[in-house]
Amino acid sequence: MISVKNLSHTFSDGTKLTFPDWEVGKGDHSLILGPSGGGKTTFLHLLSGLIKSQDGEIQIEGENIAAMKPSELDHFRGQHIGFVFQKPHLVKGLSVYENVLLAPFFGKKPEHKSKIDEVLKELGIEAIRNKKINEISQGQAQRVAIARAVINEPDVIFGDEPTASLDDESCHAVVDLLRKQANRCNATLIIATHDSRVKSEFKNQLTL
Amino acid sequence: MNIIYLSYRSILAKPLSSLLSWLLLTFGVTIVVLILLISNQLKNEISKNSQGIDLVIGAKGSPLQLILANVFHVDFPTGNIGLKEAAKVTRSRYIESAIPLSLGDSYQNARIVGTTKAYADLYGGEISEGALFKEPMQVVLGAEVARKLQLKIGDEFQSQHGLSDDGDSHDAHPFKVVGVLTTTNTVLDKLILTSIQSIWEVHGHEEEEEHHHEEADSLVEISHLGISVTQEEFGEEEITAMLVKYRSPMGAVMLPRAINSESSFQAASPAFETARLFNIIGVGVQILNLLGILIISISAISVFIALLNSLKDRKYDIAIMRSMGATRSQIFNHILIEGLLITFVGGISGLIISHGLVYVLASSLEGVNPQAFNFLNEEWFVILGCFVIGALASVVPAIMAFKTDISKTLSKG
Repeated sequence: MISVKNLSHTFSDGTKLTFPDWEVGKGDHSLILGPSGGGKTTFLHLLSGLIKSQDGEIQIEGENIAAMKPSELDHFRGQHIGFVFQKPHLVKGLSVYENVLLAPFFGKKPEHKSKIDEVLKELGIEAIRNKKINEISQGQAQRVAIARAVINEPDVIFGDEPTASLDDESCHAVVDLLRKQANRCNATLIIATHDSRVKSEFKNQLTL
Repeated sequence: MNIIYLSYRSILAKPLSSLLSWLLLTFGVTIVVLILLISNQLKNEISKNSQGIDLVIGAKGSPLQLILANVFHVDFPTGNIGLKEAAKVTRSRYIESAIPLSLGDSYQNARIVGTTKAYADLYGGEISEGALFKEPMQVVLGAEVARKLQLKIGDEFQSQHGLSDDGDSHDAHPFKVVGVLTTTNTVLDKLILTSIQSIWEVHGHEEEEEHHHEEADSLVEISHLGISVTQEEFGEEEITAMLVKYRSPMGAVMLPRAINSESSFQAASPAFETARLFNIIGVGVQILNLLGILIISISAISVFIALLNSLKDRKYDIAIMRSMGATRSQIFNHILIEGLLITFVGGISGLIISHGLVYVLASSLEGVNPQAFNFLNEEWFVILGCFVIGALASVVPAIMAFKTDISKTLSKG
């Protein structure tokens, strides 16, 4: 359950964005739509605690993250939130397995080897488990990023343009995988996008 | 998974720049530690080998050479002094004891020293097998000589004239091994000791030998030197030097001046001459040390640049780690540990290489016995210094990583 009330954000150059009040039920996957520069990413970062909000209230699973201190936000993100970005942004020095392992390590969750292997298998990338990041394809890398986002079984998975750099086929596959994984760990999936290919996939939509 | 492992993998992910930083630091530390080890060992050797010797009296020439030849057995002797005058000098009231030395012969690069038991006592050398030399042409071997030349009690050998390998051998006068000394870790281990008379016998002319036996009953005792000689020997023979111990500190003031001005000998103090030697080589040591420190500083700069450069590529990595719940201080530690790891590994490899080099040098250095695996307190300071340098080089990149604005970074990517 996510609810947003009276939320606004003022940038350092003085521009102020005001966001509509919004409620999303547990498991109600939603899209945040809008043109580029319309504040989708800012809204997403506020919701996920990547930026601290100055005004308003953001309730996630009963906790008001707008009132949290930065260190509490770090902890909250690690415990309750998973991210998928436009580019996979995997750590180059580590293997596929170790990249997924980073999420429970930094999120202070138990590091279960068998659970990671299970998720890698579900995403069809168990064969590249021990490969370096520069040895795998872009599509595989995006799957690793999804594995990393879901491994902690978060309450909310945020996707920031996760399909923007993918072709039609992969786009469809990624949305499908994200939804499946979100359902599996009973997480709410929230995707900010301007990708029209994704629009038809979700009923709940918020346009900024 | 832990932060140290993460830093370690990040070092391996950019092998070339890590290799450069590591090499520079290793090289710098090797130079600094090598100099530290060698000068320390040299000082140790010098103080060990000149213990109990206040003054060396010998023929005129270079005082440093006199010390090097008669105390450390590395240089050639300055010449010989007449026994008669030497005996007169030892009667000085400032002298408590004097040990006679007669050099000039060697066997397979081991120097043969004509002396008395007092010389072995000076270095705490005791007989480990056999007995001390009693008769002329009997020798006692230093522990290392016995080991290296594989000589046993009862073996005989011909000495060579001169202190190098190419001297003529004294075929007519073989020496006989009667004893082996204990290991003292001093120059004594590398010497072959015999009586003064043996040296005279080797160098004496054939026809004079018969006189020896005729006049053997009229002995002159030179009590300060601890030897008794025949009248003829007293008048004609020579020794190379005497190692003097003062009776009182006044001796240090009076004796060298008296000998240098009133006799045909020269007196040189091992302490003074070795201090002078260190002054001469000290400049070189300082320059090498500076060079080492310079290279270590360059390595620090290379670590700094490598980390700063990598931050550009790693901004996203850092932002992603933060999005997964990493705290600012975890990110700070991640970068700091990366710098520290490189400098730590560089420092340790420098230590290992320098000790290895000392070990290799140990077998080839003349006159000293370096102990390759003695660790000095100063080495801890070098390692500590490496840590400080690593910390200094990585603290600015670590602060920059600490301050990464995750939202801005992620919205750009």
